[in-house]
This record gives sequence, C-alpha cells and structure tokens, in this order.
Amino acid sequence: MRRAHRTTHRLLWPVLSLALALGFSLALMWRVLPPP
Amino acid sequence: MSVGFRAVQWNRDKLVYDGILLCAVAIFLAAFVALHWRLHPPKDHLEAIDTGIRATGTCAFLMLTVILCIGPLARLSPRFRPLLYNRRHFGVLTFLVAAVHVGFLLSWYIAQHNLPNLGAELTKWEDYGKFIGFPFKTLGIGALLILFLMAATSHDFWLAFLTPRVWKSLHMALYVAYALVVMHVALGIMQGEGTMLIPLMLVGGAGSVAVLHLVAGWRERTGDQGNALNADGWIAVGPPYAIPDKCARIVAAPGGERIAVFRDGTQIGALTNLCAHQNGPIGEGRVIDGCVTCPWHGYQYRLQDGCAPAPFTEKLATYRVRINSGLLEVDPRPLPPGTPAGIDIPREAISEILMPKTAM
Repeated sequence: MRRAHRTTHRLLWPVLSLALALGFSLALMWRVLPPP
Repeated sequence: MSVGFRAVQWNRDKLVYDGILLCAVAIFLAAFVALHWRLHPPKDHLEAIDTGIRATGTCAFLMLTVILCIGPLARLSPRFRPLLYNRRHFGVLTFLVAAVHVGFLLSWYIAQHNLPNLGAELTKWEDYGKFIGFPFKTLGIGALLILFLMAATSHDFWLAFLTPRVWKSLHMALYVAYALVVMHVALGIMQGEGTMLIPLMLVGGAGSVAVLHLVAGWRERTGDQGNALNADGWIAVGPPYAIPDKCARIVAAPGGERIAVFRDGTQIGALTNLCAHQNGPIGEGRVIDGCVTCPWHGYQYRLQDGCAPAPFTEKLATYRVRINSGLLEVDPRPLPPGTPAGIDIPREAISEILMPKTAM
C-alpha cells in the first residue's frame, strides 16, 4: 500500500468509526418501535 | 501479468476460492431461510418474499464485512494472505447478492401492485431532512451503485487503464458503501423491529472492521517513521548476512515509500516495496526462480533491475546499494523503473556472511 493510502486510512478510520458509532447510537436511541 | 484485455484467467486456486465462496453463500441463505421459516412460518407469498429480502440483505452485509476485514487481517498475520488472492471475486459476488436483495424488494412491491409507492417513498423530499424517517432505501441504492462500480471495474483491464494509484483510490469508495449499508440497516429494519439481533449484528460487524483497521494502522506506524540517514544520506540496512536468503528487509525512506532490500545468495538488490500490479508489499515476498515474487498475486521482478521477466513489461523503481565497512547501505533516492542497480557482494565480504565475526 502506498504511504499516501496508509495516511488516508489513518485519517479516515477514526473519523468514519466515530461517525458511524454516533449515527448508529442515535438511530438506536431514538427509534420508535411499532406497537406489538 | 501484462495488460491486454483477457477474460478471467482461471486457475486452480481461483476455482477453489470461488467454489468455497459460492458454497458458503448458498449454505448461509438456505440456513437463514430454513430458520426464519421455522420461527416465523410465512402466511403468504409476500412474507416468503420478505424472508428473501432479509436473507440476501443479511448475507450481503456479512460478505461486505468479511471483505473489509481481509485487508487488515492480512497485514496482521500472513496466514490470512490467501484470502486476499481472489478478493475481487468476493466483491463481485457481494454485488450480485445485493442485486438479488433489490430484486426481492421490487418483487414485493410488484406483487402488491404497489411499485409507484416505492417511487413516492424515494421522492418524498421532506423526509430527507429527518434523521429517523430518512428514506433508508436511498442509502441502500447508493451503496448498490458503489458496489456496481467496484464490480464493473474489478478486472485487471481497468487496473491498468486507470493506473493502480487511481484504481485503488476509486476502490476505497467501498468504505463509503459500507457506511451507507450500516445506516441503511440502522434507519431501516432496525427502526421497525425490537429484536436486539440487528443492533448486535451491526455493532459486531462494523466494530470488527473498525477495530481491525485501527490495530493494523497502529502497527504500521513504525514502518512509516523512516530510517535514519547517515552522513552522506544513505540508509544503513545492516550486515548483509542479517537479511535471510531469498527474503528482504524493508526500510523506509524518510517521508517516502518503503524499500525492499532483497538478498539472493550473494546478490543484493533494492526495489520499491510496491508491486506494480496492486501495490502489494513485495518485501514480504520471496525470491523464487531468481525473481522477487509478490506475495499477493505472484507478480515477479528481476532483482537486478526490477523488470518483470519477458514477455511481461512491468518495471519497478530500483535503489542503489553498497557495502560500506561491512554494512549494507541503500540510497533512498529512487532510480527510474528498470534501472539496473543490484550488486554482487564483494568476495572479501562473503566470509563475513558465512562466518560472521563473534566477540572473543
């Protein structure tokens, strides 16, 4: 892998992980389940 | 190894890889459908189609998760390297499973003569300003389009046409596709079902991908720090005998790419660590039949000049090497690809290789 790609990965992954964790958490906390 | 459009060059390894993949997908889908029908027997054909939507959607998500784990796993342990070999076929199959998922979805709407409602869902613009209630199918369509782009450009023809650097940059869009799929599930089916299986699947899958990437990236950091330069700007690699025969020691030019310094008997050569095919780490490969062989797909290059053996035309950048006071040194400034730069270890240094001096 090129150095530039490694750098992109190192920048991308923490940001992507945090964004996904936030999006998933909000989707889970705010969901309104239909009545049974 | 060279360019020229040819259909998939099948070999035994690819057939075995694809065979295992197809069997695994078939077994997963069959088991999912059987278990789902046992727990929730379908009352009508709409519920049967719904099972197909769930089975193919789950399968596609898991396949995408595994594909994204292969890269960092191969960095962390060489035993996962065989999974890299035919990963593109894995990707193409993932796109096909995702396409079948969409096919089932369309069948579900068509069976109810409700296809216009699907269009209405996707074009209800006020919903795009919401978080809960965001048209999650749009996220899925976005992911599918990216998967289609990946599958359509997976052939080596595109790799050569676009150049490996551009091709790899394009294929990093797969991470965007994965994020879209995670949110497609989180804002879609997870909103309508109380089971914890779906959140657990998302956390387990995305969590594994993230953790593996972070761990692999952390371990690779030291390799990028760059080896110290001596007074005349060369990097000291070490005693020639410290490099195992037919293997390499990888050093890093400060602020530059990594350099693979190979030893083949008494011959020493330094090449860029990036394979011309897909930028694989050739320094982790071996010298086979006199040629440096990339561990990813077996591309080969002569140690002396970084050229692929005839009739192939790939070339790698080479680096000057020298023996200085018994130590092997490499000049971190790359030479043009194909420049002969390998050396034979001087006769007086050979005894140092065979019988290194030991402290009295």
